[in-house]
Amino acid sequence: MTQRQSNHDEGPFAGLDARTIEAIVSVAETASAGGDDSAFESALRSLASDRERALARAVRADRGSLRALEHGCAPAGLFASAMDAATLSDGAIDPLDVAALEAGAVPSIDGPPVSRVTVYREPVLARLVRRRREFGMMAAALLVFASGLAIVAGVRAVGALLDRPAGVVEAERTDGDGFGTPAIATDTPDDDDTGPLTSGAGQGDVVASAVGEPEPAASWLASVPLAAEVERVASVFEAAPVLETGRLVVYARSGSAERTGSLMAALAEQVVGLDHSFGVRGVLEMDGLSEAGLPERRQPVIAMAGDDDDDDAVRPIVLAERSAWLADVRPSPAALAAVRKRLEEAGFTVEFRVFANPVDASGVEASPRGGADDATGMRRTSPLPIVIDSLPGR
Amino acid sequence: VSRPDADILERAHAGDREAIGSLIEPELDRVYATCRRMVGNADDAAELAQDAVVRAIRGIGTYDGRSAFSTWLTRVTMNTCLSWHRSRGRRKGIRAASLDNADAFPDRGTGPGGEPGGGDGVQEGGPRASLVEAGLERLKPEHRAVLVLRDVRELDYDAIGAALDLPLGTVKSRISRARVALREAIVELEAAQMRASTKADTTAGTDDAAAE
Repeated sequence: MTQRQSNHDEGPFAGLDARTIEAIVSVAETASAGGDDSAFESALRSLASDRERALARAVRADRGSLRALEHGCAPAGLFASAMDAATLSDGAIDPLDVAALEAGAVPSIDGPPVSRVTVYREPVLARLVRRRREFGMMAAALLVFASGLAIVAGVRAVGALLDRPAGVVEAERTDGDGFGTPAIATDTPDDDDTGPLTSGAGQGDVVASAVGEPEPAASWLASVPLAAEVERVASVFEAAPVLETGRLVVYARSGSAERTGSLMAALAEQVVGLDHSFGVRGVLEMDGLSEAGLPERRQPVIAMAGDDDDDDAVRPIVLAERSAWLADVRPSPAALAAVRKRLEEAGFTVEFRVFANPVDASGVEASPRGGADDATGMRRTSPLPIVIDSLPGR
Repeated sequence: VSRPDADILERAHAGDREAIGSLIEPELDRVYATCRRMVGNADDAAELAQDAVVRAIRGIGTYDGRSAFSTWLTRVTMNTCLSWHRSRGRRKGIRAASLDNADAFPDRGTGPGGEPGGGDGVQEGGPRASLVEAGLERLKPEHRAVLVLRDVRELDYDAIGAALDLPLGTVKSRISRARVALREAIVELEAAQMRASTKADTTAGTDDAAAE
């Protein structure tokens, strides 16, 4: 869209002074009564030249064309969906709903009668007596199932104890944001050039493996916190309004830096979702994220499993590789769900976080194929950083 | 000026869906029409109209009933549209329609009324309407806003001032500048189309000559 400001050096009004132009527009604005243009024709005579009169007629014709444009009707269900959206994001509840929850209370709202279904709840004891046979069978099935679970858990625990090498002690540390972060203290051999396990990160960021059966890398990373002080949002419905403020960030963990790179590169080449929900614009600098509220501290320490056939090998300790990308996403719950789904499909663990300040996305160029360009079919979008911690070298 | 009943307003302020609906639903087509002309395509207009209505529902507590509800809602709608233009303008990669490329408007013909003194026949959905729509899209958002309120919503100057929070003098001068800008845009679009048409004729003539 090219936005223009007349300078009147050229074009139809060239050479006319501001007063004359105002007079022309004023004449063109003359109201007509019921299709009778005599007032306009009369006003035309006040203009000095044929050129001015022709311009007034043209401006009036533009008015007529604008008024005659068809705009269509509002989409069906507009009010209902807006009402739902407003209620969802506010967490507000319809007063009628609240009234219905209050036992015996009659909503004191004037208006047409509202039909309401009252659910009869049978007392638990009466239900037990009436359906004792079904409950008995259900209890027996539950007992059998629980016994099976106990046996499996017991066998695995004994197996783990037998496999565990000496010198490894595990502890659980809570980092304050709800993650149970496994911490480890170990008497690793002196030739371990990675340093002590607990030396590389801030409090609460220490993660190490249980040095038994190698777990999938992604499950270790799942316990790496982004930062205790970066608030989480649980659902896409909560996240969508935050996205519009520019403070939303997607935090993902990947078991493979290589996979992270290839996935994000692939996403940068396409627009995702049936409705072009999102597209990846490019790599985002960490500086911008720090300013937005990403704590500046060292990345989490990750313990990697060694070769399966070398039980005595010292397990290398590595730092998760942190990378960040910028996506353009439609500010809707559906679009955010599409982002999450796409990343989860690639094996990433995904959650939405809220930064203290909006992320400055101005440094990231639009992608060559025009990530936010109308030509791709994308609609109104908001920038969304995607921060990914990946296990390197896998 | 139609103001809602105190009872309906009170219930709307309390979050009563029915009361809010009775205020907003009669205005929905006007909200949509405003958005449609402010953004230029139906999809964005539908999304913006929903945004505007969501904002109105959330902010209904700020409507005190002293002005017409439609004026208040128009103001909310226009603010939503102008915010959309601002955020869109900040992002890079906005499509820029070239004045010299008539292909940007492939289905827009050469209308008779573009030149000063031209005909004033309004052909709904025809080339003339397409030209005016294309011209409108080229205006600055604030110019577009006054023309939309004046010609699409058919508001008087006072109501436009109330909707845009502008003094009367500013409304008049802005409408004047917007009309001039629209006329200039339309004339330029017509000229571009003429150039493209001439070029196409020349190319066809050259091809015919080569074929002979």
